[in-house]
Amino acid sequence: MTVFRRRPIAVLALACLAAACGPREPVPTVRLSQAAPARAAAPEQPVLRVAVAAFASPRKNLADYDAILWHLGRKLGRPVEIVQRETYAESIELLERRQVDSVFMCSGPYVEARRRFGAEILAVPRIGGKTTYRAYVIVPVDSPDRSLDDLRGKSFAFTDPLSTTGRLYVAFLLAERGLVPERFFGRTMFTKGHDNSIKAVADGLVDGASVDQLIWDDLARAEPAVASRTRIILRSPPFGMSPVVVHPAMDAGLKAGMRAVLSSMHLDQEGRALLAKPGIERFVPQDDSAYDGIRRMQERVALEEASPGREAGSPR
Amino acid sequence: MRTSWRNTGLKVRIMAGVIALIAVFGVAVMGNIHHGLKELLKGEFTRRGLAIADILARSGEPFVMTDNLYALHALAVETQRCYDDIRYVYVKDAHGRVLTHTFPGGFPAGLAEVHAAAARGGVRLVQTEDGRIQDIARPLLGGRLGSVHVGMREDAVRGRLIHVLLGWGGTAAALLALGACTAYVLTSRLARRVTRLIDAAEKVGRGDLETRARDTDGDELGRLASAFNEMTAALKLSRVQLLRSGKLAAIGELASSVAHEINNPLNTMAVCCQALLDRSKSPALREKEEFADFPEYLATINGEIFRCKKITTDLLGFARHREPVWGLVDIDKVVAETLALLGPRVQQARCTVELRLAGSLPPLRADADQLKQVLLNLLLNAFDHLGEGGKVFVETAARGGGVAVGVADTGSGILPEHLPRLFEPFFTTKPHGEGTGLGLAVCSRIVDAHQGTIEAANRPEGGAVFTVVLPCEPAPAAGGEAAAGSSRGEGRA
Repeated sequence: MTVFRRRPIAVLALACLAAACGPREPVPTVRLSQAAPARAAAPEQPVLRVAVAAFASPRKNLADYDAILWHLGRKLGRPVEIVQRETYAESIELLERRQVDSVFMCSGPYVEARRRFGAEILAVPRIGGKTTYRAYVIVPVDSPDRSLDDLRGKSFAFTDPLSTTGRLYVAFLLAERGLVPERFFGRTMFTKGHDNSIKAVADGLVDGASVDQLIWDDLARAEPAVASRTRIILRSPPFGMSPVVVHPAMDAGLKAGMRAVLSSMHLDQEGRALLAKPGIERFVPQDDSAYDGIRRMQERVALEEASPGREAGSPR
Repeated sequence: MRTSWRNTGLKVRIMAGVIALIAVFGVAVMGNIHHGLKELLKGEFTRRGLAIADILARSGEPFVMTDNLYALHALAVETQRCYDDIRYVYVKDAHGRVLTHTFPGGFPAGLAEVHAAAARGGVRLVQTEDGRIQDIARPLLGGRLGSVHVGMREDAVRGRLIHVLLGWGGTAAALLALGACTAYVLTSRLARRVTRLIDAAEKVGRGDLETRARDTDGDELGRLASAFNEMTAALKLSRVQLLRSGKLAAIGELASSVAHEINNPLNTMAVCCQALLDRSKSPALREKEEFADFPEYLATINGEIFRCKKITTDLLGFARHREPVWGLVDIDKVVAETLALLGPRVQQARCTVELRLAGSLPPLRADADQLKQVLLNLLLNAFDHLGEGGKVFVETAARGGGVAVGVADTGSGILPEHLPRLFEPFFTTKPHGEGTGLGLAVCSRIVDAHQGTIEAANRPEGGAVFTVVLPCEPAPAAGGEAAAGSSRGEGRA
């Protein structure tokens, strides 16, 4: 004490040094150069792999269908894995190779899958009392364009090469006039999702786009600030609803089980709540003939696109 | 140790104090800067890492959802390539399986376990052979798809921190050196000035009262030097006064005894001489030739006896110094009354006296008779040194809260070598036998008793001037002698 009274500078120095120090927490040590040994994959429980085609962005698809598919898996007593791909063609290939058990598919790709390997419809969603839907051709809300012809030479967004509402319908309209989209429009792009196309038009990235009516309606409810910046200039005739599709070689029991679960989801409160997210009333059966119109459009477009020596934008 | 520190000089103590202070506070400040800067850089570093991981997670979500592992891997690799301080990137799925990573030699053992709850994200420190790494985890789609991990090297931050600290440290060291040099220069100068003061004090202690401290700065040491010089001058004056007082006291005692002893035979001689003088007037004795010059010789003897008596009277008068009888005195009146006594003497000196009285001066507390004695002596002194037709000036004025009386003459002035001794007893400039040299000493004693001052000086236009300054209210005297007054004959008016 005497020392501290006579040497205040020493006390001050000690206090400052003590203040400069502080407590330290333990830190784990890892050798980055030492690789972990490969582990044998544990035998997995059979998983129900269901793909959701690229209707919308992967995030939106997951948000819309994750709960429904989890319910499906729970009812069937199997874990469910949701699989997504960037294009409809990849989804078709997954089903064709039986790398997935089922696909929530767009109508156009279904027609293609049916043609290639006899894909079967498990069920279709009924939305707004209907099992059909339309294509919308949309432009920015302040655009002067009033018809498809006004969009000649301008930029246009499609969603996927195989999409009915996202390309086929507009390609069909142009094919009827002897035109192909890539030569009619000044610039085209594939956005890989109808919500992406709607946002591209709303943001003024493109002059127009062809989108799924159901997704536009859903966005108008969920994000009115986005949808309100677009305007519909053309509505298509109704097309058969996007089906839930399986491989023809799928186990009959599993097929029946899935069909039963989907068809009965609307019967309880929990199921209805899950279906409400993507706006589905219930799942119902659907006949393949509902997609004949799409088949005809595909044939017409294929014919036009295969015609050699056609001048850009010139009618036949 | 304690004794040697107490014996160290002022310079060493100040230098040690300044250096210690700068060092202590420098360490404290550096410590605080280090801590603050470290936290700031660390915080910014982590924020940057979190931002990179967030962008990576948002960008990678679609690739994870669509099983596009190639695109996910390319994204991870490109992200690592863009930033020098990213050591690794890896992505885990919701089951904890590593989907992709940027380790060329395989994914390290134990790294995936660092974040136990990776779904929630966070920052964990990992010690590796490459130094400490911040493993920053961000969830994919809220953790439902897994997590993204970015490993950021802390060494980069440490390197920058050390660089900044070295710069600061260099600056602090330079400041410390500069502070020490400045302190050395300033304390050296201070110590020199103090040492000069100490030397002067030691000289005064050895008796050299002519020593003066040569420090004219306006700071505290300059004021101390000035006070020292004033103290030394006052000490010298006090010594002079003490010596003179002692001498005066001794002389007074001696004079009193001698005068007493001589006075009696002188009285007898005077009586006998007077008797012989009376007899020498007898006509019968005048007729005898051998007694013709007797009256002349007897008259001479009588004159010398009376001269001796005067000397003894002066001595006794000097020895029998009495304390002042205090009363309120009008100095102008004292001057007038004294001049009235000297009327015949003025005529005898064939000179003129000019009065320059101030009038309305405040009354003095003094002994009027003693003041008259002083003026008498000064005026008689002036008359004695005037030539025929000379002038004497008497002037009164207010000065410094008191009163000043000046007696000036148009005589021959005072030799410079005589000025310091004028007020010494028995010092006289008159021819032998014409003065006892006690008049000015008496004046000095009376002025001292009144706590005033008396000064003698030569006038520029010729002649001398004596100036007496008296306070209106003298303070009570201490030790029987008036210590506040002073007599100076140093050529100043």
